[in-house]
Amino acid sequence: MSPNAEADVCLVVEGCYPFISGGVSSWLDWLIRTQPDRSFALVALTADDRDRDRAFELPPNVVRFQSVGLEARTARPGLREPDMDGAALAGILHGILVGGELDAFDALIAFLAAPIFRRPFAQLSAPAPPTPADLMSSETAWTALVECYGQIAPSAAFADFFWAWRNLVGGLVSVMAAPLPPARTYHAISTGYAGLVAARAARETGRPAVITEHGIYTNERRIDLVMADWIADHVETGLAGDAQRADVRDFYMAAFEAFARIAYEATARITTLYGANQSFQRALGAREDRLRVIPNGIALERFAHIRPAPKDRPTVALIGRVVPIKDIEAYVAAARIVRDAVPDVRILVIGPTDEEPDYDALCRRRVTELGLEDTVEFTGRVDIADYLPLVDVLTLTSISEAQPLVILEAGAAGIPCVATDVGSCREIIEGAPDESPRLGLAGRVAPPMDAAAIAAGIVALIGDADERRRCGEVMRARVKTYFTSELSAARYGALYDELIA
Amino acid sequence: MIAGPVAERRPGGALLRPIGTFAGAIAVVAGPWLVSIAALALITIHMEPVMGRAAVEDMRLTVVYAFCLAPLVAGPIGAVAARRVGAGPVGEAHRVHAAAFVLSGALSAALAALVAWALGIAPLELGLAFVFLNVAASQLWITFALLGALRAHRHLVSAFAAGMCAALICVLAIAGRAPSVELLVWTFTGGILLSCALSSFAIRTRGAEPPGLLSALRALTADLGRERHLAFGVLCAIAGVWIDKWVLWLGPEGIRSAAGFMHYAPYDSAMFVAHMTVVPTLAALHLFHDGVLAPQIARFRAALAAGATHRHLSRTLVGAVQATWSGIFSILVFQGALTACFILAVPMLAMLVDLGHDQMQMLRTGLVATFLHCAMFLSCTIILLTGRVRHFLVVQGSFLALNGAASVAILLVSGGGAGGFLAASLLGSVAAFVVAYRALARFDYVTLLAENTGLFARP
Amino acid sequence: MLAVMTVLLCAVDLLLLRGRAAGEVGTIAALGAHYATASAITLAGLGAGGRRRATVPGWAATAFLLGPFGGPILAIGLLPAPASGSARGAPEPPVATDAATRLADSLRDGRRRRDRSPPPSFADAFASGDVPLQQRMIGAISRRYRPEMREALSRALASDVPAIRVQAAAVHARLRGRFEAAAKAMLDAGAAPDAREAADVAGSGFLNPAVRTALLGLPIAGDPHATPPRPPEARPPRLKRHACGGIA
Repeated sequence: MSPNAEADVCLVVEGCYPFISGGVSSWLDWLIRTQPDRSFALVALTADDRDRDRAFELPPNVVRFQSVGLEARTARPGLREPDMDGAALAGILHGILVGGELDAFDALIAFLAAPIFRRPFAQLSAPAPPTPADLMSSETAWTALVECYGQIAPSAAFADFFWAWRNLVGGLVSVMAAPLPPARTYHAISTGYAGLVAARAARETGRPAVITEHGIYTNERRIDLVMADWIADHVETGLAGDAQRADVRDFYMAAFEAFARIAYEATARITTLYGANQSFQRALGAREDRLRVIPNGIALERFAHIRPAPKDRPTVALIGRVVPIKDIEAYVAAARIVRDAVPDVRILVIGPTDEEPDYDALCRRRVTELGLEDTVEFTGRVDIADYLPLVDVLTLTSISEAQPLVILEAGAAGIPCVATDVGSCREIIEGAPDESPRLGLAGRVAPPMDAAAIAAGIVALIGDADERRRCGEVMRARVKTYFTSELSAARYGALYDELIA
Repeated sequence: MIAGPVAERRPGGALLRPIGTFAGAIAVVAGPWLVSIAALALITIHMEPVMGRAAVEDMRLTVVYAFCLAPLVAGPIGAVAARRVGAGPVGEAHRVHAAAFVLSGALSAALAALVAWALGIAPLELGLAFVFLNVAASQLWITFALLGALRAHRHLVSAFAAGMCAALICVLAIAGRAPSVELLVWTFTGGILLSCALSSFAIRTRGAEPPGLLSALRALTADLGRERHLAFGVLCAIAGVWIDKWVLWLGPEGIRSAAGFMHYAPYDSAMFVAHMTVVPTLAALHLFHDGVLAPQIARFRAALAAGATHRHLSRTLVGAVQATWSGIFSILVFQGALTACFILAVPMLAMLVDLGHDQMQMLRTGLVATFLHCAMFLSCTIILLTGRVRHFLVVQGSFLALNGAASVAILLVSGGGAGGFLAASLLGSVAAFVVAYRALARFDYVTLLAENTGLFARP
Repeated sequence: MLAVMTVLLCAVDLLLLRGRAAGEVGTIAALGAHYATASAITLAGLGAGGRRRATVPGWAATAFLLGPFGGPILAIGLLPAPASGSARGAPEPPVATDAATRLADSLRDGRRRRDRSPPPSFADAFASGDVPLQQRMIGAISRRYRPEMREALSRALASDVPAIRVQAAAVHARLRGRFEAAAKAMLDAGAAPDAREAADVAGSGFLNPAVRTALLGLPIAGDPHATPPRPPEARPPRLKRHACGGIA
């Protein structure tokens, strides 16, 4: 790695690669490895500045790696105050946090670059740009905080607002103060703080930036925040909300939306995995001419040779970790209905069971309660290629997904799928609205948490071999047409070429 | 101003209750010192005819030196230990006390030995007694600090009365057997240690295991590292009160006693009287702290914790600021009136404590200076209460430097006097007031952000 | 062990102090005798071992620092501490905030709703409300779930907006886990801690009928003859579903 070399692409990621394993991290590793002729810089945003173990070995074309803690501990404010304009700072931060204004973002960049004196005894030291501690902990910063509180949520608990401010503005200041690796283009893998880094890079360097969203960051944050127990509600806004009076919860949500607005406005391209996501992006100001869809891709050759193996029982499988978000409980409940209709069915849960032992125990207890000991089998961590030949129908009962690779992998093997209507499952199974020519139905889509609908879909496919075979072929054709690794990598390559040019 | 829980607990009628309350506060803040001074005076009066003036003066100087040197070590350690005890769980006090006693005792002994060696204190036996008196004085300071943190002053005065009575009895017992200065010092040391042992019962926990010393020392030194600004601030505060005396002791007019202690009696005695006149302020501050300051701060913190809006917090803060400054100014007016009375009564005071004509002018200047120093002390209390420890260090460090420099300058220009202390106190009181005013006015900022040490990386 | 060490040292020190006061022993000799005794006792104490060995250094430090007063002062330390021990004296005065004050403060701070018009119904919100409103409502269900909200949650699960379905599913899974865990804890304990709590869990709408029945049959802790009151059945509404989620 050469720290000062200009990379072709600077990837900005938040809370995943290379420290955490998972879907987006694996995708990032794939992205870098499928662009071997391009050099990458990598900025990984983490919750704090502690050292972390890496879950991934960085590919050789990563020329620079940099970790930035969002909750970086600043130095204690000194005895000499930075000579800054508190009202101006308040205006800028309000514009960013609530308005999502790119002008305010530009003003913050300028504010951070302008040298300031310190009082008293201003002549003791040469003027220098403000430090993160100045923006977070000085009396001027406090003035800005109190002024923004008065404008944003004057009825909220001040201590709660203070902590929200530390959290949101602390992250903002951290990403604004972090060194920016030199690169020809900047690619953020979400909005949020990663999007702000890309926006800052675009505004500071004039280089183009792009955002790729798997899930929609603001939507995920909103879901987290409206349900969060750790945020106390002090203002009686009512269920319908009250536009005039906001609480800290509203402030959090508004801030993440504002970050997304800035990122969408500052970047040249905004890509996502499937079309349905774009409605959220449009709602937050993403311009139509910047929107792109680039689906995930898989290595077809790994699965294309898989053919059904002879077996004595019809087999349904769910491939995934035994964790609540996969809703294995609904799968087990559906298994009972399927077993009633197809008594000799074999139902597999293929995936690691050690991530949430309590949930695993709950699911196994449910299997016992429903008398499914001879039907449902937990395989643990295995090579799915060994099991796919045995599987007649793949099932996905997740309550949240983006573009699940397991469906694509099963599809490459010609296995039809019953999936909940989350992420791009519908597009994969039914085809995108603009699919041409229409390839047909590749399985069934059911509402999340609806065991009866999931079971109905499974029974429909298990009970009809022709339909199953036809759906499997449609799935194979769709994956081959739209979801190959080569196709996806080529699209990202073209995107980078377009931006760098 | 002095209403509050302490006042409410006092029995007596409507007229007597405030007087009783105030007397109680004086007993709490200055009782042990007054008892010690009274004991020393009695020893002096009783032994001077037996041992001669020079010997008794050496005894008195030994005590003065011990009460000057020991706090330089025990003051910072006591302040940090008290902070730990005040914030820590009940039962922590015993462990902290053990560590603070050993650390301050050892350092005080070392400092005293160094000073005794540097001054050439003789005979050796007196030097040794001086070292042990320093250990006792450090113990006294630590005990005070911890009992203050535990708000357990109740038995302090009775414990000191008992200890000093025991010392006096011993003095009377040895009076007929060729007493020496060294024996008197040992006796006084025993009295102080007995007082400390009796009063530190409140620090112990029934049934608790004696603490492991090494782990307690490790924890205390870690605390001292963390609270180094407070420790140095207290060191500067104590040294700041003495540095004008040190300058004169070491100046051309300084006198060496028979045992070798440097001193400058004209200035020392005048300033001693001047310093004693602010005892009422200390008592009033004690009452004000418990009755007004602490509840105001508690109210603000409770509102913050209960999810108050900033508007509500500002209202609470405005109330706290008004109550605080109104109380502080009331105390200052009260002390100012007392100081004015003392200035008018200087001739009478001079007669009472046997001061010469030159010392009367010194006393007048000293009275004004101690009044101003008292104002600085009150502001520093606010500074510490708001958590502005680094500012406290700057104020006290500046005061120390200023007092030292001004005293040297005045010594060179006019041969001595309290002018240096006056100038330093004047500037120090103004600076401390400005810092305290700003700290209290922005108490929300100070509490949540500026002094919220958990937010910041350690340098 | 410390008591024996202390009594020994105290006896020697008292003798030394008496001798010094009477002029029979010189200061250097008295100090020498004290330190020799203290050293010997300390070494003996360290050699004796035992569970209180760790306290010997503290004892020794006191004995050495206080010189011939060490023994008597350590002996005073042997006296039992008062029962109150190091309990703090006068506590911080309590800060009174009664209900009326809190209400007045919340009115003054603008936290109470001035517009008393009823909020939109869940049914209306999920039928025609905007997505942010629906998300807020699901958040409210998550944070303040009552069995009466079960129907609204089911409607949200069947929403034609994917984001709403996902959020409703997350809330559903979370509530289901919470109530199942609570039911399991009560059933494992063999008694419900409180009749109302048991009824709330039983009536949550997230338990299967067998668990619900078992829960309602549990005795109440402290009153073995009482069982939780039967809550009304919280059944999800029968909705006609489109194949892929929308309701009609």
